[in-house]
Amino acid sequence: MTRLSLKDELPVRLSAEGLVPERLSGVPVAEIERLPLAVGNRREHVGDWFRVRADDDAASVTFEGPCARLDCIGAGMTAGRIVVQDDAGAYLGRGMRGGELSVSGSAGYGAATDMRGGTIRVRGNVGDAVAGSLPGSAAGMRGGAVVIDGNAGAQAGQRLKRGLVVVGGDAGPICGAEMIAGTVVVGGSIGGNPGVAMRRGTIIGLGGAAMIGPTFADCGVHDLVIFRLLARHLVALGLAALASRLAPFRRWAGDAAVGGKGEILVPP
Amino acid sequence: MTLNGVMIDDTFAEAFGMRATRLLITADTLHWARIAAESFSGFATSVIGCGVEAGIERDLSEAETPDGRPGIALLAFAVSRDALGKALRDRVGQCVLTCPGTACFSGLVADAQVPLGRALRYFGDGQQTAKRIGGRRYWRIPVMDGEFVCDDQVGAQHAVGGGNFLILGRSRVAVLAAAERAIAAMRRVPEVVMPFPGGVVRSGSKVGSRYKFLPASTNDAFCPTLKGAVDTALDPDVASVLEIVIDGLTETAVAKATRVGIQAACAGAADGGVTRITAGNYGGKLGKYKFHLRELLQ
Repeated sequence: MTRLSLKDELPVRLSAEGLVPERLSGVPVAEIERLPLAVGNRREHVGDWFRVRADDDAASVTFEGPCARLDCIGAGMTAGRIVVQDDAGAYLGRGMRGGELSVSGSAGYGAATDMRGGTIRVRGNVGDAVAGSLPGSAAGMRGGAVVIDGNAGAQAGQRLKRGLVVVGGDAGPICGAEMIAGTVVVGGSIGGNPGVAMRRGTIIGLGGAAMIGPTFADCGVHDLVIFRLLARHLVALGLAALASRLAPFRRWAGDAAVGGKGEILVPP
Repeated sequence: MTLNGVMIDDTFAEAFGMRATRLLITADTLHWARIAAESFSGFATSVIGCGVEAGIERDLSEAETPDGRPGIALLAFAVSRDALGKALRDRVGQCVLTCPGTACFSGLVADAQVPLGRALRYFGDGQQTAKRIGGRRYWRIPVMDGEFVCDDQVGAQHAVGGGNFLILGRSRVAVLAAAERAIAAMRRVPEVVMPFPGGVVRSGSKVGSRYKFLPASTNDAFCPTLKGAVDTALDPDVASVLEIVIDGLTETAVAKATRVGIQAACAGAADGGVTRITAGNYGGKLGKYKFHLRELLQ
């Protein structure tokens, strides 16, 4: 396991891109400390900002210290495990393709952006645009699972194409906007206008939704087999309490404004 | 070699390589899952006439099914992956999709896949949707009682079809009782099905016929009413012959089912009703698998 402890609170935002298990495991401490780190337009080194320790060769990286300004933690990681023992900055797990990433605090803007695989678990809240798309990209998250115990900001799951996003608390407005497919499960309530311009996919608001747009059609209350399959999967992810709430839902189909066949499911 | 006074022929059953899948059919109740499974496998006795051989493997509890509802495990066998896919499309489409409350899942993890939901989805007329959950892709097809949910594809593996043995006896009643005992015991063996009605077939066939259009015809050597008229394989006191055909996912499973079936058929047969156990083969030239009866019973 490689431990990267921030020496002090960061005065500027810093990108942790590249500090991933597959790159650091088995590398001597001195070599890790010499790895380049871009700070603004200056070229510095990992050792300038982090105290580095390596317990063994296990494919695991732990970030310690005040990481709220540390962006892109786990970006592009393909395997192994990253643990953040504090808050994380923006773009947590951006473009992640595999492995596990867990944050004991909260995460900033754009967590799981362009994610392709693996699992992200955030014990606190996340900022806006979780599981969304990179600017100019046609699709957002394309695989894997993101589980947030707390709340999510606005535009969660924008252009989500595949995978599962679970928000234990509330989700902000415009959740699932332009969704292409995939599943968003929100344990609390969802802000206004969920699923705007969604084409396919499922948004579940276990605490209801503030306002569902007029381009969604009320299809009545249903108890469907697919809920049972989803519940089994949530149980496998350790979310049994949430799974037990997947009862009959009122189904809103849309967004008809774009000829979409998506659905928003809320309690009857 | 005798078993409980029943002669065991020194011969072997000849079986063929097939492609097989296991379907898990679930419903709101076991009753409706069974109706769907029985409809699926009702006309699935022989690949010669039905395109597929299928049967119910066992009941499934709620804990054993993907959707937590009661279900039935069903095995289907065909001569190729294409034939299996076509049979699944037709039979699931007509017998499971139509049955109230049912869903259909793959019960086999295999490298090869055959299409299921991706072939049936068009019934949704554009209203069907796919849903990927935990790495599995399902299709949701709107139907009049809600949705029919099924796997996009199901696993298909190499399997063994056509394992068999024949029970010969002095009366139809005695031979049928022995066959029933055998089937009851064999149904407890996993990974096998006996695809004929009740697991038993009375119209054993030989390859070819005197008619150009008929590829298989009655096995006259084993027909008791022709004993004096043809080159018979029967002893003078034999009045009835029943065959049990076994399809299994593995050679081991078919071998076990054959052994268990013969032992059950011979149990309690000392009263003289059952006289002999034999097996059907083609001289070992056609089938990939051979199940020597005496070796199985040693």
